[in-house]
Amino acid sequence: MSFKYAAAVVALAFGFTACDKNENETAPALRTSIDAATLTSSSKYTESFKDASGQSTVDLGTAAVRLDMFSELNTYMAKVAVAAPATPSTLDAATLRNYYSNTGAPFSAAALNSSGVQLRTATAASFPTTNAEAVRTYIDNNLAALAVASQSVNNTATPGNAGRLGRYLVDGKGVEVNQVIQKALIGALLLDQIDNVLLTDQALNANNSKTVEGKPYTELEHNWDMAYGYMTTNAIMVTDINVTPRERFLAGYLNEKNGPASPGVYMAFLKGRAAIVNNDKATLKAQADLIRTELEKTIALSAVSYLNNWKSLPDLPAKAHALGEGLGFIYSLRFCTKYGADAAFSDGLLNGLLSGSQGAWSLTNAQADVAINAIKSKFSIQ
Amino acid sequence: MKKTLISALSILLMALVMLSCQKDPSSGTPEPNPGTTPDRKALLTQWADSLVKPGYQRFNDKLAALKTKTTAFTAAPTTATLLDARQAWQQAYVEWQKVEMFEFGPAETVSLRNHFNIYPTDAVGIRQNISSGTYNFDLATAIPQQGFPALDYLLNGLAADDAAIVQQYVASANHRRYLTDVVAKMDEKFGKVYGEWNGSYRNTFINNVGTDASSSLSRVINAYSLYFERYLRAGKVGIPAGTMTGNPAPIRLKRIISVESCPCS
Repeated sequence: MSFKYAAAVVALAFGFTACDKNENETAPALRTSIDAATLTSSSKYTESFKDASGQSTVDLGTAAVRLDMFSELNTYMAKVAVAAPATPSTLDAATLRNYYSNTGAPFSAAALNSSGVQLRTATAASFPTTNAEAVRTYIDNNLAALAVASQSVNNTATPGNAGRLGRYLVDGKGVEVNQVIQKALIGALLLDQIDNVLLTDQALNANNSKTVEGKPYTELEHNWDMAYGYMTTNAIMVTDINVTPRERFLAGYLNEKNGPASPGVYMAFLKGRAAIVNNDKATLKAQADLIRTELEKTIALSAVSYLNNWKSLPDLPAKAHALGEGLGFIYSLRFCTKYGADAAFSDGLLNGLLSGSQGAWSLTNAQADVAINAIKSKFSIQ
Repeated sequence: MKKTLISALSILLMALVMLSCQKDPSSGTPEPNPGTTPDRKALLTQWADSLVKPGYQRFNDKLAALKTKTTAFTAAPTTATLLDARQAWQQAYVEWQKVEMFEFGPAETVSLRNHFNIYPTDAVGIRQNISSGTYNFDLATAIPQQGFPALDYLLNGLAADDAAIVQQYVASANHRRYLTDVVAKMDEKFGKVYGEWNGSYRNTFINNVGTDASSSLSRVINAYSLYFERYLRAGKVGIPAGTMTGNPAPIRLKRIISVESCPCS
């Protein structure tokens, strides 16, 4: 009897040991490991990651949809700034709102209209609700202001009066509103999503052990793909400013203003995606950090570059255009969380630049230098 | 002017030849022998000490003479002092051509060229400035209302002949003041640039020996390229000749308004 009892205890012990063993083991790897060394600058991001059945697990999803929506909004806004001999158009406030919120089927691509997503709710999504709404309202107000200014598209702008300088439409303060909107959305939509929603330390802990219901990808894989999708919809991201057709928006400025970093950013996207497949958290975090840092630097470098352009250019239209772009990128600085920039920093710079009685018409080199030096200092750029 | 331009170009060519021999480290080919790497600091020192600083010193002398002669003119406007001022303007303007290409470092920071040589001058705006007495040369709208082209108008284009020009300055304090202020602004901006090159910037410049976008080499080459393409090739030849737009635009010639050829608009 005691032997049987002992045997039972032993068996039980083995049983517990066996259970312990299973709990201590990591869950079986979902995917076959990838050798990251096989990925090169000519590897296609969208075709390099497949599941066991050979199906691609890469899906750029709603990021690609929003990037295309952004393109259509931008094309509509640009109708005020066409070059001669084309004639510019006035813009309709409701149409601008529709592009931003995806209401009233505004897009020429039907798939965008029925996608169920929009630009507005994804704007500043990382911010607490009140702060996020403030950003969305900023965009709303600028879209409305653009529509108003566009009514003067056939006038020449003067201090206090909207109109065009050369081919660029400015408001009464001399600000090219459509550029401000575009560059602000590069930060508020694209950078914020990549940097502060999809690639944060917290986001990198998303589930990676099972595929999402009905999809070939895990949550973590999809987050990473969405981040790529906010950069480009190309199979390979172009990393050279001299190659056409150029990348759009944030990827385009990465190439133009932070060119030396661009190939590294693309490799980081590839290597990070491989690290996800390999469950290699350390490598994944390193790639995420690189991407976030270089994209934030891109915003800062762009802001400084456009302010310097404003300073050096002699003619009013080119100056106004450079300033509009610069102001939009300065607005976007508030999303550069790794460098500790926030809304207070960004708004301080904007207020300083537009503090003159006639806004941009009053701007001097001395004011521009304050902003340039503050950004260079904050982002440790030369 | 030709000599300096040729020596500037030959030094630039030398630099480019030296640089083109350096292998691109990112291409995967082995790093060149340290002994064969171009000595960029020596190159930058040559540029600073043999081109920029002496060039700026010569220009400073001419600018100082311009200031002296325009002060003498506004103190006592006569045809004699007008001719003196005009000659000083012409000599300073010619000397400026030898330093306009140095729009990097301190000159870039103050946007020196915008205060010295943007043309055609805005004669309508200048007349409004004079009559209102209110103007700010640091505003974007004032860029074409100052500098050498404005002085051209003020000394050569105000009226039909020298006697009439002199009479304008005799009669109008606002005219005298505007002329004084244009020269004063040039003096202020150049003084800052000159001071920095004679001060700490020279060392900053020669020690910034990389090839990245913020290096001295990159800044010089980009500034020179911009100068050559936009301000020399397009500004002095292409745009006036109409080869870039299809429409000749002689008003865009940077020219000396002589009494005979003045369409004073």
